[in-house]
Amino acid sequence: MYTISEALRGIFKNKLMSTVSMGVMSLSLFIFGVFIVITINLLILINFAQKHVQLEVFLKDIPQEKVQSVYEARTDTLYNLISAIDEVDSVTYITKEQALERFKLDFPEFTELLGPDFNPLPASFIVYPSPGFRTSIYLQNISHKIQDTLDVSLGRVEEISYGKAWIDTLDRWVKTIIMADLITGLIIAIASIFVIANTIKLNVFARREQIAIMKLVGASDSLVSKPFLLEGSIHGIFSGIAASSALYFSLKMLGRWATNIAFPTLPMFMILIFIGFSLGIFGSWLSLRKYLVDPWIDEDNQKGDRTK
Amino acid sequence: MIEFNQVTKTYRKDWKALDDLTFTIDQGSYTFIVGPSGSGKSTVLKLIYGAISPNKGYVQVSGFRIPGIPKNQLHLLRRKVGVIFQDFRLMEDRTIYENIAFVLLVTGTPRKTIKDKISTVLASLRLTHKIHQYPYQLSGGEQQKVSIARALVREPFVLVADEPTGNVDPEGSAEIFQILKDINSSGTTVIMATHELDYVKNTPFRVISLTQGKIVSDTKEKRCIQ
Repeated sequence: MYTISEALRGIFKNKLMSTVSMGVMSLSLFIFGVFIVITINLLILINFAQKHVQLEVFLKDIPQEKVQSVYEARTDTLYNLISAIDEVDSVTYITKEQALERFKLDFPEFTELLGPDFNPLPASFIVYPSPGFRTSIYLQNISHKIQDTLDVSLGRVEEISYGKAWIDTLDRWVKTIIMADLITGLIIAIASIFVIANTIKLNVFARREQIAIMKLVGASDSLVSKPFLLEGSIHGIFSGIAASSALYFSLKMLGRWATNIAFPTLPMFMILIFIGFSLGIFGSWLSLRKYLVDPWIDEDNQKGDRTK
Repeated sequence: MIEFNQVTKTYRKDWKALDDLTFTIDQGSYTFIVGPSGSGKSTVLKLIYGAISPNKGYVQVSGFRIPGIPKNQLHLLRRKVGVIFQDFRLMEDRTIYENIAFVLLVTGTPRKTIKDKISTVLASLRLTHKIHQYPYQLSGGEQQKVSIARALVREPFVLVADEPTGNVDPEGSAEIFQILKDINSSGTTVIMATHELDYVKNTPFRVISLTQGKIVSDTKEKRCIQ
């Protein structure tokens, strides 16, 4: 009860400092929020591009009618084995007929070259790697697993192909973008923490006399600290709400320009409120430490008699 | 009882504020500490309420020894010592009631008891009508009386006053001296640092005179010698 009333007193009696603190925190969290939104959308874009990363496993034609059922059974087995590979997300089977249909759709100008009963295209598996395994190294691994391990006794695979060049280019871009994003995020985070910590420090500094008086009349450190910590966390929570609301309404105001921007409303509110709360409470604790100490005590206790 | 045992306090490495000071103050006594500026009066008082620690020797205050008191027990010492400062040190953003209530809140006193105690102490100092005012609305003398009320409300075993009349007009000073005398009559030990020698000249109480951190005269000692 004492802690709550003291914290509320701190906020309402020091309106200017509270407003400045919350303003600075809100602005910093808003900038950080913009960065998070950009990062989320970049990741979505990267994920979209990487969904096109795939492996095509071309299957041998079935040589004779009489062994057809055996080969089909082997194809099914291979399908199951490929699906069970850890790095594989999903597998799609494309029959010879489906491959021909696709060819006709993709290259209508060559359709006439194919006779009515002529289909040179093989059946295949389209293998989609799981997220995180969409680079050429993993594709090579998957390819080895299929051709050199699983298919050894089945003998169904003719050839495995994937666009190594463009996957490598994509991979380089993804790495560059993620690195740039991380560095930017780090700079924004450090700048935000620095600005917020200094604002809180200023708030505590303005009341250092009060802290000194409280200590002189017998208040314990925890009794002095608790209201400040609560006040810091209240500032942080409200700043988080203000920053996420500002982000939300900014995107609303952008209207149709922002329709394609992903903004997970609830998680964004929760993340910014949590960061605000953590920074508020941690910043207050750090700032308080300086004004709570009786510098001589520790030093002298080491050389003095510990008995009361 | 308060005991100073061969206490030396040095500031900035080589400036001795107190030099090998030894004396005791009895429970229930009234002691003046006098001396020119820089003689070490405030240092003696600061040692009693644990604002500083001696470089040599020790100070024993009601079972607490400095140095040696653990950091997490310092507030317990300060709850037993009532302190009055020259500059009052009242919290400017709180009313008189809130300033006094704070020292009781920190010890977990129930709100009903706080109300009763504050009423009693303010009535005894004739300050009841100022209860909802802020320190800046009060004169120097009144602010010092609030500071005394704050120190008294917790019934300390010793009241330490550091130049309590320094920022108070002569009329107010006389009143403060009388109040402290009354407090002592009720059994509380009072130690007061002052440079107002007129009040001390013919006092029946003990007077310790300091110069450059050493005791140059002690009326109690004199009496003992006589």
